[in-house]
Amino acid sequence: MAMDDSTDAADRLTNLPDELIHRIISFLPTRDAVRTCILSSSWRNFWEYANRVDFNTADFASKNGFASFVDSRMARYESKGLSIDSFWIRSCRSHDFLDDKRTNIWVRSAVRSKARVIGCPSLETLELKGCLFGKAQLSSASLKFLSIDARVIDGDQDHFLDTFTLLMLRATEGGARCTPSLGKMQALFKTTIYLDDYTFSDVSDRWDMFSLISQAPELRLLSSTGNIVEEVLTHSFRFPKWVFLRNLVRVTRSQIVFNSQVSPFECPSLRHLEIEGWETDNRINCVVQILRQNVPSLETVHIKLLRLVPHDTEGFWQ
Amino acid sequence: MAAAAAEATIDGGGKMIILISADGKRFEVTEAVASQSQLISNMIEDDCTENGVRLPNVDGDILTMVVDYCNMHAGDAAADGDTTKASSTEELKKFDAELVQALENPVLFKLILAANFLNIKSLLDMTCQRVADMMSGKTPEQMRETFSIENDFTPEEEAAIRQENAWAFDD
Repeated sequence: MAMDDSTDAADRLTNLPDELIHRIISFLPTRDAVRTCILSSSWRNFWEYANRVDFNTADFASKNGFASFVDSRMARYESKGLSIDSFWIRSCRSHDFLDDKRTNIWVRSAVRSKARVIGCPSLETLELKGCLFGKAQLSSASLKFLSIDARVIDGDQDHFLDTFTLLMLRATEGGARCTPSLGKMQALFKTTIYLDDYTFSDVSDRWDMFSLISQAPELRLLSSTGNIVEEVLTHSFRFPKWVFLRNLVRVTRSQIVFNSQVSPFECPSLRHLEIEGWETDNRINCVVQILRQNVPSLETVHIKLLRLVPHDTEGFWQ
Repeated sequence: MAAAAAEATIDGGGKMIILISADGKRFEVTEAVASQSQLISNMIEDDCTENGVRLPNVDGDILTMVVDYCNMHAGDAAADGDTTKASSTEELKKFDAELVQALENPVLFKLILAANFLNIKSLLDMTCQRVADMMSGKTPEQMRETFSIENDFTPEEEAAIRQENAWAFDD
């Protein structure tokens, strides 16, 4: 190699292969990364390849300036098909110009760019609909409402895989599986996961959906056929198939089969559980029994039975 | 000759591997140490390490540092229960911190290239992070000075580029 080895003055940094410069840039705070664009003509565009982004409103004087920068960055990642490793978006009190609606758009964009870590410390509501998750890990100290759309789109034999794909439990084309993580979301108090009648229709103990939701002190699983939340809430619910339990093997209309070889599920923070289902659905009793045995922290189970005639009965189990 | 040494084993039963630097220096390491390099790990799997592994783009002094690093971190990959042999987390942190603090141009960049060539991700990340730390918080002028980067923009060009992302330059 014809690189000048003898002097310390050689520009060894710029002479590194591009991918190494991209790697170095990825370790820089976003503002410092952008500033490298004027080092020299070689450095003009290196910063755009950083695979970690950390947007902070504190760096910006105006809401519009911040939003248009993030907009253009996210658009660039998507148009170039560049993957993001970690995506952070922060707001500080003196520059409080993050709104949930816009942040949701950016987070979804980050998900599409395969972000592995997504952090938004000030986000309160996150709706991820139609998002295909990779090995995503979500982190937020403020998130209160998380809604993940787990509806199955077609009646394909493999729809169960698709369901989990939507749920952050990603089965890649090759079939490698990983467990989703909702760690570090201590403020999360309500998780709503919409399921339809086909969700989890075939399940094995590998699918550990429970770890996904066990952080939430209150859990609500709704079965739905509608597209929007309002519709879901006003239409009839059917009891979802309770196969998020780690050791569950199969759920049918009449029985729930567990694999006794597998350790029982854990759910240390679950205190309130709400079940809504048809009064004729005998799986409800089964589920209540299982929960009673396995979740010592459980304080109340609220069972709402729906009759075929439009008149609701409510029952409590303590 | 080399083959005899390469076949040698140590007490633990681990096979030894000879690494040969660009300037002909030889390093004898265990498979566990060497296979932290994904490149060498692949070679071990393919059974092509018998006559020693020649590393034509890594100098002896750099390879010394790489081998030290790998020796120190061999415990990471070893079984968790083996507390006697594996370096403690504290020790490792101290070792890494001292190693990385001492790194300056040009050794730093040689080590980055070696870590990249040998494919040792943890070492590559650590050294790239070091460069980033040396850049972070500096003005563009200071960055140029630190790394001997020649500014080939005209003042007009530079002003225009600053304007594109003005928010990042208003100190």
